[in-house]
Amino acid sequence: MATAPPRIARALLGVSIPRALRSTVLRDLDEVFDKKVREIGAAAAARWYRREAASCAWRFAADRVTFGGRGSMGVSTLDLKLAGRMILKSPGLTLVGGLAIATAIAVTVLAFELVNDIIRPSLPLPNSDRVVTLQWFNPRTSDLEGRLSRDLYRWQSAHSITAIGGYVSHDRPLSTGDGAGELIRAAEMTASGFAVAGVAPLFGRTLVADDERPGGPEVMVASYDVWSGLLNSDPGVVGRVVHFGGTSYSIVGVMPSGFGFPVSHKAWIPLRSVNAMAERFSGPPLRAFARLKPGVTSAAAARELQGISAAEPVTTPELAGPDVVRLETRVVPYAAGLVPVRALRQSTELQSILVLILMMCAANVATLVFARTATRQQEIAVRAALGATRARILVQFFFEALALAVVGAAVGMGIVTVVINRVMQFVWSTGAAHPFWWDDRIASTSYAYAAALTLLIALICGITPALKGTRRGVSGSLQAEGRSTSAKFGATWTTVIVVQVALMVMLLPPALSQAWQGFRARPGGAGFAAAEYLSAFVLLNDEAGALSEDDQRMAASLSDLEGALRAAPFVTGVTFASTFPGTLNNASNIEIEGVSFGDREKPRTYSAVVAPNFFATLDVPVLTGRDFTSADADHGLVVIINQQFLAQLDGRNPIGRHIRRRLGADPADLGPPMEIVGVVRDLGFSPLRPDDAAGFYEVARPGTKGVNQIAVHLPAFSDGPGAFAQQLRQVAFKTNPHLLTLQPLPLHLAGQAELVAFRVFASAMFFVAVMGVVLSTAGVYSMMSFTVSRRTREIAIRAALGADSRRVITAIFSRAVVQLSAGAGLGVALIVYMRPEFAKEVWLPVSLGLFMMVVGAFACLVPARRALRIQPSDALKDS
Amino acid sequence: MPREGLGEFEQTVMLAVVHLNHGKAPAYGVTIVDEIERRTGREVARAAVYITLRRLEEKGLVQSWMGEPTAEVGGRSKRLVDVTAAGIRALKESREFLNTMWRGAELPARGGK
Repeated sequence: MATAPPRIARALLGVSIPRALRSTVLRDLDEVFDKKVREIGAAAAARWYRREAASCAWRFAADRVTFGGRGSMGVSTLDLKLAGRMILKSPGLTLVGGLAIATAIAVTVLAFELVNDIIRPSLPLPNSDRVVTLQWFNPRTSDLEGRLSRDLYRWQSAHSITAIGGYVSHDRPLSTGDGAGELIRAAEMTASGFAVAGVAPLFGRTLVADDERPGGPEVMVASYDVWSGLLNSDPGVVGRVVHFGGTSYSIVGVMPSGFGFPVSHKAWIPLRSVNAMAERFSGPPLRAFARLKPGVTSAAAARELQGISAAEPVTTPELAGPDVVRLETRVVPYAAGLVPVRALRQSTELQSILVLILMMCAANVATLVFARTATRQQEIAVRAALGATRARILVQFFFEALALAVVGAAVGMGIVTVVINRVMQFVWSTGAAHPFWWDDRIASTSYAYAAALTLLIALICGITPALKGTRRGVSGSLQAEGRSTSAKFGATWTTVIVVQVALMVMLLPPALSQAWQGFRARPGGAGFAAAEYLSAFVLLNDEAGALSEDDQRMAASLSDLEGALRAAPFVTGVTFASTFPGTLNNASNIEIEGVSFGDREKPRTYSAVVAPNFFATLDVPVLTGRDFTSADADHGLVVIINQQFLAQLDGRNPIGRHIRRRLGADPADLGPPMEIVGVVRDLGFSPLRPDDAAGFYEVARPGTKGVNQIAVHLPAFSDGPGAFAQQLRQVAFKTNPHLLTLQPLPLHLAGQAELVAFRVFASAMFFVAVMGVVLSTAGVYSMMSFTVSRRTREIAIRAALGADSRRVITAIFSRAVVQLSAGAGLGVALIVYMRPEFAKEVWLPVSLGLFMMVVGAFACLVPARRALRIQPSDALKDS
Repeated sequence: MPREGLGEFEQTVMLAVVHLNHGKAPAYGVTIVDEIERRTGREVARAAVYITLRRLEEKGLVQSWMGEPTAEVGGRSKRLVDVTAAGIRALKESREFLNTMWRGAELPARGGK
């Protein structure tokens, strides 16, 4: 079947090419497209066609503008000049509208870019569009069947693919044998995976088919990150032995920087189970991928693979029978295959919602533009009198809106660039695992998307108000200008005002509340010299190399490590905790003996499990009661609370009182009672709640799970505690070769990553909230002001006929008050219904509603007073 | 009234048409783009070629007509192009004009001082 050019691109060409040339250009492009399909494949040809369509659309549009007058719309450079002039002439509209458009574009394109990076990224692999994910999909349950080993083996004979592979991920510690180690994600992958990726090693070799032979030597290909980090960029790394998951591997090669195929993998070991599986749907769940031959479509490949599999019967009991018949082979774009089907649907929904919000934002700007259009009736009338058609005037308005949208979009894309850059710098700085195709560049599709959105905004902001503004027919405008008495906005505009106010009252409080919480985030570690401590996670491998589950062995190892560190020079103290101040802690609900919270919401309480010497080592004095003792560690069940916790007791004596942790939804499901023995000052629990984080410290008994963060006090270490990391690693290795120390950081920096994330999020929320307020305020003001100013003559005549000015103003205000209060009331009702927690803080949405009413009233007052000042004789004369 | 000179790209397009027709190859959008890219080694914006051809046709320097559908797979009829007598004259004049300017011009090995 012949492949057709992409429909949207073809439609774009259809509207952008002048009629006289349209059929010629489309025919020629079809011819080249057919040739490209044969030469480079359907997907690459489609990409070429889209690029060509964008280029043609742009050039033909530019030609129309430059050599105006030939096209059906008769666009001329005059339109551009007028549009540019209008941008400067209305600085208020340019600023408010431009910023609103910038925010809308930034948010929508950021979401698009994010979704694209997850679902449709451009992989940094040669001919990456040929790389696909293979799946067995059950349409009845929407589940994927992962046991692909047998099929993978048989699919190797398929003609539609050049290479096929599969992998399983393993997160395990990788260590070098001298104590250095880190947790990494490795791919146990078929050797053919490297052929699918098509990337050559930096040095050494990749995996080869012989490595998959059962009983063969254990070999590993290392990533650039592992080589440059853990292996110290060792030039003689090939042949070096490392330990991963209880097995020793010999390094055979190193991949180049940035290579993390299949997703975020740092090492590759051979997958040997594929060839050993004799039955379909047996063996471990795998992810499978392939590289399609040029010109082969996904559908054709799926048909061939399904055919190959169908030739072999299924013996797996739960799949034999009707279910297996229903299973479909799917060949999907590589990254989309890694995302659950539900997430794909959700991302489309998110995108639709954002586009709707963008259109609402554009509609807001449109109301501002409409208010301006209304003041330009005379200009429209004069142009019409000089021979301009309605279409011609619409084009002029469209270009004015386009100029505004382009300015906004440029600022919006600037914001997108900065945000993506910052986010990626942050991701890279934390070393967090991320797909290897993520980078800080904006995809070309995102630019195209932004361009399409800009056009959409220009259409909404330009054409809609202009159609309304010229509805009477431009020829009649000149006459109409002279005796226009009232322009009725009607039900539509009333609805717009009500919805506008309701949305603002409803959406802003949650955004402001989130932003406020993020801005209040503070680093922990206040109240002690956090910069003098080095913190790290300590992990213990078992004999097989996997993470040890033996808590007693872990406790003994930590005790040995503490002893060894105390003997090291410069170390003045060592302590352990589940988390240290300033990093994210667990929060739970607790019951306090003798304290009833009544109707008050029970506060969530943070907690950490700490070694008995925790406060002594951090040099934090106990304010009331006593510190933990080593005897406490034998029995456990004693806690020290912080001052915020103390505040909840309303002046009662905390010492000797018991608290119990709630374990589930059932109020009776409580943990064992723990006795409060002391009070310390607030050291900061969560960066998100620096001021009101009530919490307690529970003493750790030997072997308590999760107490594996160490803090080493180094007050006199000359290069700062960070420089002690290497020594810490060596001491740990000497103590126990299975001990690993991970993420060594000075304690005051330990919570920085979360803090930065909170602040970035808060800034974004605040920015969007402020834009919402500005735009809504400007929109309501202009609509109100416009409706009243259009009634100038009506008001003046009423006054001339003897109407009391107070009654006139009351009549004007009553309508405005009804509209605004309906909006505010609706907004408050909706937010209290949807977010009951705002029932307590109802002052926030109510104040926003009142604010909008004041703005609306002010907007009515100014033109109404102006109308009342017109001399009665003048008003009657004009009518 | 002095005749309006041909632009560089206009000359390029017209000369591609001349080359194609001289070689008995059909001159239309696709082949003209290919011919320019093959001879110059530069990528050409397809839309620019169509826009230029339209402009040249309006000036009477090229003419176009619908050809018969071709026999090849997916064969379509094509809008074929040829340079008119006025076009040939304009090309000659452009060449003469440039030759006049080039005659005796000695270019220094390096520009500026």
